[in-house]
Order: sequence, then structure tokens, then C-alpha cells
Amino acid sequence: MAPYKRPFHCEILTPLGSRCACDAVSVVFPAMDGQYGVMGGRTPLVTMLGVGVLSVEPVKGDTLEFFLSGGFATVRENTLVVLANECEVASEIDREEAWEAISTARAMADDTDEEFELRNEALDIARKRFALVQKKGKDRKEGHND
Amino acid sequence: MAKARRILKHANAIKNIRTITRTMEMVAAARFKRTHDLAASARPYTDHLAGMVADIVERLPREKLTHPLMIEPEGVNTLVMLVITSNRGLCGSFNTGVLRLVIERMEQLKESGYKVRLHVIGKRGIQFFRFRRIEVAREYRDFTDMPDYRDIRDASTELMDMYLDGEISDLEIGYMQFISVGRQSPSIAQILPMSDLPSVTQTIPGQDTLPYDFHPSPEQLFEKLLPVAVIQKIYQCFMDAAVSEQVMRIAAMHGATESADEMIQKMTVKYNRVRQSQITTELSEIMGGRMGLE
Repeated sequence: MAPYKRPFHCEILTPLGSRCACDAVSVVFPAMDGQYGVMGGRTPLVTMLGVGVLSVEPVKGDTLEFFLSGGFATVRENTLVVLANECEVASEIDREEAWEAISTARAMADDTDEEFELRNEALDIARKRFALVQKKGKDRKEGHND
Repeated sequence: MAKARRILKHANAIKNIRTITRTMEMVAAARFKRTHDLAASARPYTDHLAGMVADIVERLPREKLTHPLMIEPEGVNTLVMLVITSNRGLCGSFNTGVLRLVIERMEQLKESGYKVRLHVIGKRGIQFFRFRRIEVAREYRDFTDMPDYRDIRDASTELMDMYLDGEISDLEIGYMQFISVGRQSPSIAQILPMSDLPSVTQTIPGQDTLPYDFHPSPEQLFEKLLPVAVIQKIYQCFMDAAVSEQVMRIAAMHGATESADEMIQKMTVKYNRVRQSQITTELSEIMGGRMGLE
């Protein structure tokens, strides 16, 4: 194993339970100010999560992808803990339901500033979620063609 | 024979009740397992969240450790008491224990000059306050015995908004605290203003403070983390109540099944005694009749 691929422990937790607990060589997650990459031996960190895809490159096996919509992440003692508000396994997101979520978000009221903000937030999450489903579908198709 | 038949009928009725209580005990046991697992799966998230708050608290100077959720609004003396009861009965002292404590607390608060606004979860609690003609500001009937996180998050956000808007000065929850399978206790939890912040020594014993990178600043993180910590605290109360309800129902139904067994046994002995005495009477009548013929 290359020296920069020092493994570290990664845990993804939600209020409903653990979504992933494994040893990883790298994790990329959406923070509030852009994508963050974590590798073994990183200095301790506390940050806020944004909306997007978290990908885990485990020590063994294929890359795992999750869709996150907000939360917090912390790195300490070679362990990354992601406290996600909501977390879905990317491959398990239903295309129809993701499309439906965009329509639902569009239909939300936007009369007050607060409502407008909430609607935009919901729309942003729904769009990014659907984009991930599209990407997954495309990847699968390309995989079949190969 | 009429008396024996009556006893037999009574015993059969008790047998039927026993079947129901035994089934309810088994159903409650299955539900307990599910709710307990759900509560246990939420624990790591809660612990890590508390650890994160503690790490930030450790780094912020005292004067910066303020948040609107920690400061009681001035000039407001309205308290929201959120009461968690069940939708169904036959769960021992689950509802009565909580409701008795809530009534006591309400009297204390009224004496201290607070106006109490009741928010009640569960049909049992709603019926109780209606019967006592105590005004309920908000009734929640949609919560089941398996609390849904999203519903609780929405309700908590609504209550936090009321607090931040200065509508209420305090938020307390009356619920059944789950201590262990053998011990549950009715409790009142103070939620807002949030006063008991976790400390590093409380969450990670012997852990030195680490040089963290904070993105954004610890102040901004603290501001965002505290509402999540409040939601998690409220969720914990709901989970405790859900687990306690099932444990107490198991105990109540187990007790009822045992009592039914005891009654069935007594009835059987009584029935046999009556039947025997009837047979003896009939035999002596037959023998008396035969002796009379001789």
C-alpha cells in the first residue's frame, strides 16, 4: 500500500442509525464551502456538511457513494465521523421518486422570505439528488456498452 | 348443576381474557424489541453530536457561549409543557405516572406565576385533560408508538420557532424515562432554555483538547449545532417514552395473565367441589330411595 494510502476509520451516522462503518483510504464529502477530501492522518477537523455526494474508497472493495443533505463532520484520531441529517445509498435512490421530489419542491409556497428560502433549499437538494440518479444511470449504461 | 355450570361459564370467560392478555404481552414484547433497537441505533449519533458540542464549548470563551436558545426571552412567562402519553391503555402506570407528575408540576409553575400551555401527545393524555376540563393548546394524535424522526423534527422546529419568536419562555417535556428494562420513571425534562451543555470531560473522559480546524468558525458551528442538539434531546424523550410504554405493557399483561391463571385454578377447584357435592347428594338420594324400597 502506498504511504499516502494510510487507512482510517470512517463512520456515517444519521439519527436513525449507522449507514456505513468501514476502514477507508480516502473519503470525499460535500462541505458547506466545497468538496473536502480526507485521507489517513488528517489533522482534527470539525465542519458543516453541504448537499451532495459523499464517496468512500474503502480499503477493500468498490467505492461507495451516498447522497447527503446537510449535517456535520468531524475528524479526530484517524477517524472520520459524518453526522448526516439525511443519508441515502446512491444506488438505492429511485429515479421516479427523485423526479417527483423536484416537482414537489417546485410546488412549495414562496410568498414570504422564509418560504422562498425553504423552497430554494428543497429545490437544490432535489435537483442534486436527481442529477446523481442520472449520473448513476449513465454510468450503468456505459458499463453495459463496454 | 346450575351453580356448577355458572362457575364453568365464568372460568371460560377468564380463559378467553387470559388468551387476550397473553397475546398482548407477546405483541408488546415484539414491539419492545423494535423500539429498543431504534433507540439504540440513535445513540451513536447523539453521543457524537454531544462530543462535537463539547469540543466547541471547550474552545469558545464564556462570553461567546451564547445562543438565542440558551437565553430566556425577557418579559414572557408562558411555558409549553409537552406531555407524551400513549394512544392505547393497558400499559400499567405509564400514563397515570406521567400525568400525575405533570399536574403536580403545573401547580408548582402556576404558583411561580407561569402561564402553562399544554401540548399533549397521545389519546390517553388528551382524554385525561378533557375529563378534568383543563385546556389543551395543541393535540397531537398522529404520533404512533413507533416515533418517526421527521415528525418529531418538524414538531421540535415549530416549538423552537415559538421560543425564538418570544411567544414562550420555557419548554418542558413530561414523559416516562427509560432507565432499564426493570426501571422506568416519570420525569420532567427541561429543554428550553438549553442550560446543560455537555463538556469534554463528560463525553470523552481523559481526552485532551485537540487542535481542530473549524470550518466555519466555532461560533458559527455552535449556532448551527445547538438546534440539532435540541431536536436530538426531544427525540430521545420520545424514544424513552416509546420503549417504556412497551416494557410497561409487557409487565402489565404478564401480571394480568398470571392473575387469570390463578383465578382459573381457583375456579376449577371450586367447580370440582360443587360437582362432587352434587354427585354425593345424588348418590345419597339414590341410596335413600333404594333403602326405602327395601
